[in-house]
Amino acid sequence: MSPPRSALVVPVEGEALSPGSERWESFFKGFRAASLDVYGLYPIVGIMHERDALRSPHFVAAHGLMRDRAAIEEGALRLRTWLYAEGPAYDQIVFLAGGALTPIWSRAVAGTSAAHRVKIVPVRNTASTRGTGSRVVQGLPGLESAITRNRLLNVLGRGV
Amino acid sequence: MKIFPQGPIKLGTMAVLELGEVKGTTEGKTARYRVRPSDLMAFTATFSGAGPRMGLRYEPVRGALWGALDVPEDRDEVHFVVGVPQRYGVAMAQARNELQPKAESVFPESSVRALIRGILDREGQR
Repeated sequence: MSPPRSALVVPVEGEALSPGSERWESFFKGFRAASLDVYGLYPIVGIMHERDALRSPHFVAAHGLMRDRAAIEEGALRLRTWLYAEGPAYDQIVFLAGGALTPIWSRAVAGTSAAHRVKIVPVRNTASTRGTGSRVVQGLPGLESAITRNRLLNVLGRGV
Repeated sequence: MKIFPQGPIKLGTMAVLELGEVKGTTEGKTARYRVRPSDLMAFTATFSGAGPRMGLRYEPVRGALWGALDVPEDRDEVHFVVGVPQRYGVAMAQARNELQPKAESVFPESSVRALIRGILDREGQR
């Protein structure tokens, strides 16, 4: 029996955590598998496979960043569209939720047929990842915590 | 709410995109923009090297949005065609109707500009 096909969608809020960045690579390399596709959520661009984002950095950069209420509206529209267009190809869709773009998830998913296949993994800022002094972690602080890692492993069916 | 931005869309000080026709086909929807130079020297310098990429589709977000430069046979001007595949277009219309966003168009002007920039920078073709 082949493993369930999964999509992992990660909000991209800046260069600190974007496909190709050091944090992105060091965290997600441990999760990559033939049955898993990793996507970045860009509020204006939409949902982009990490491979596509690496291939078209100028396209992504030309959109700039958006973190206000309009970003929630734009992001929800893009994500809902993606759920309708690409969602049926996946047995489960996992969202990493944290930071300014968190409200996108519920707004995009509510009332869709894909809702029962969606799992949200909250990423919370823990004491060990909270920025202190000059080191402020941007883009999903708390991602590297053991709690988040274990939650994600369990959701993806690779926990122990 | 429209799918494509009405424009005119400025490409820096070099050119302006003016929306011509929006067409629906069995493959999806397309919008054709006329690229009107506002700085002829800069425009010529930029687009004269784009010859080999004329007509080639640039699709940074696969299955969602593509763009292509085009020179119509009967006119001495450059056009830029932006397209949305049928499946994505249907999904987008459904999401748009349900969420009722306030923006004037589904794709912002920045997406059209980013598509042209991607083509001119030869992204996805290296």
